[in-house]
Amino acid sequence: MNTSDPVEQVLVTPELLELILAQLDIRTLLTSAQRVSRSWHALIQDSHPLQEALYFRPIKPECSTADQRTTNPLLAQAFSPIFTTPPFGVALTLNTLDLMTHPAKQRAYLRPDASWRRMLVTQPPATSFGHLTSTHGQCGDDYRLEVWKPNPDQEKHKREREGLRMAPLFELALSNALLPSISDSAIIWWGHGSGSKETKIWECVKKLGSPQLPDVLICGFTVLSCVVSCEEEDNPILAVQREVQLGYKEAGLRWELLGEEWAREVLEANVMRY
Amino acid sequence: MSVPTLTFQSNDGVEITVARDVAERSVLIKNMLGDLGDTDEAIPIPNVNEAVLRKVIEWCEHHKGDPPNTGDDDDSRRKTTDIDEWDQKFMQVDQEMLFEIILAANYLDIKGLLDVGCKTVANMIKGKSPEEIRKTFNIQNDFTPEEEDQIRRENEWAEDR
Repeated sequence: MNTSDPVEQVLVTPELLELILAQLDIRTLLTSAQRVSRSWHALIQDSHPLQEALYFRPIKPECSTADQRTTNPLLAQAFSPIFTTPPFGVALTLNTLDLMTHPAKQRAYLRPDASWRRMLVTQPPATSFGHLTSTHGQCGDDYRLEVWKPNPDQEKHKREREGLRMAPLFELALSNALLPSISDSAIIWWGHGSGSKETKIWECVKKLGSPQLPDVLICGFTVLSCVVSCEEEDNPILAVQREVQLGYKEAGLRWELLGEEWAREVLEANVMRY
Repeated sequence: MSVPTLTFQSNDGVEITVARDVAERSVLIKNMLGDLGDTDEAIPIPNVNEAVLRKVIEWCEHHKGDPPNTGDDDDSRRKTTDIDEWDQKFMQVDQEMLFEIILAANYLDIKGLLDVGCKTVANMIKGKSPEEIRKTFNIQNDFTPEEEDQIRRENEWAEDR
């Protein structure tokens, strides 16, 4: 190092720049620091602690206990309805998503390479993800639980370093909201939901004979009736979905759900009523 | 009984006498004394000038009662961007001095001081645009416009607007 300028000396020392950047808030680190120069960008991309701080690289679960999971603050703000459990009888209202309330930002969100898509939703990451549906019909109730877990066929180190990222969660939340005649929906994080809704979900899960809830569970309860609803046109979810689908199409995006690093299990039950 | 002391010599030749427990906030000095045993000779600190060395000693004196750093990983994980009031005042120096302190803390291996220094710099970066950061620290933008635009667009959704 030939420089005598202390500012430059510090900033060209990767260990010191890393220590400084590790103290930044996630937004500045993601949107500004990466764009300062090539060396800043390269350092942020290659640093394990910084990639962990940005929710791109999973941190080892043994670093903290199950209850010490931290929600990705950027995602919790941008996708707030997905990160909060609505009260009983109220469906997830996706029209409060940032990409809906700020139409000007829609293009930024719906880019195939938008970074939110690959961000982990929590740290340490969620390693099981489920979709529970119950259909309340005239002659009986149908229950269905789909659970994704890291594929046991994967190499151990890969299995241990994966977690639920935002794109599949967003897409499942959106398709759940589009279930026909949905009467109630919820998303349950780590089994903590709002009281009565949690009880209802536990009942469904028990009927399916599943011993535990996945880390993140999206639930949709629907009531089938003979009366055809004519509110569909006014349904704000449909408007969201139309916009998102259009955006996906324009951007050449496909619904990706979870890739082959995840294994899927389906439990189904039918309870007849006489 | 008098307090055991040590003498440092800055790179501009000034000798400064310090209480031994204060000097041992520096892991480098502590390890060195462990290897050498007691010494009456002035210890040269080749990378640090008098002004910076005095600042560093002032910090060590104020923090001499702090629990010793265990150095385990947990410490760095616990994030507190808030800096204690005394440290904030202590860090109200010009930019060159701030970075000199960071270099000295790194060289002398004084983790607490290095942390405060890095936090102070991070606070100068927070909320700034890339151009403002470059201006603050006189950094050259060496991206091609396409490269920078690619990074910008990937993360545009998260920009504050």
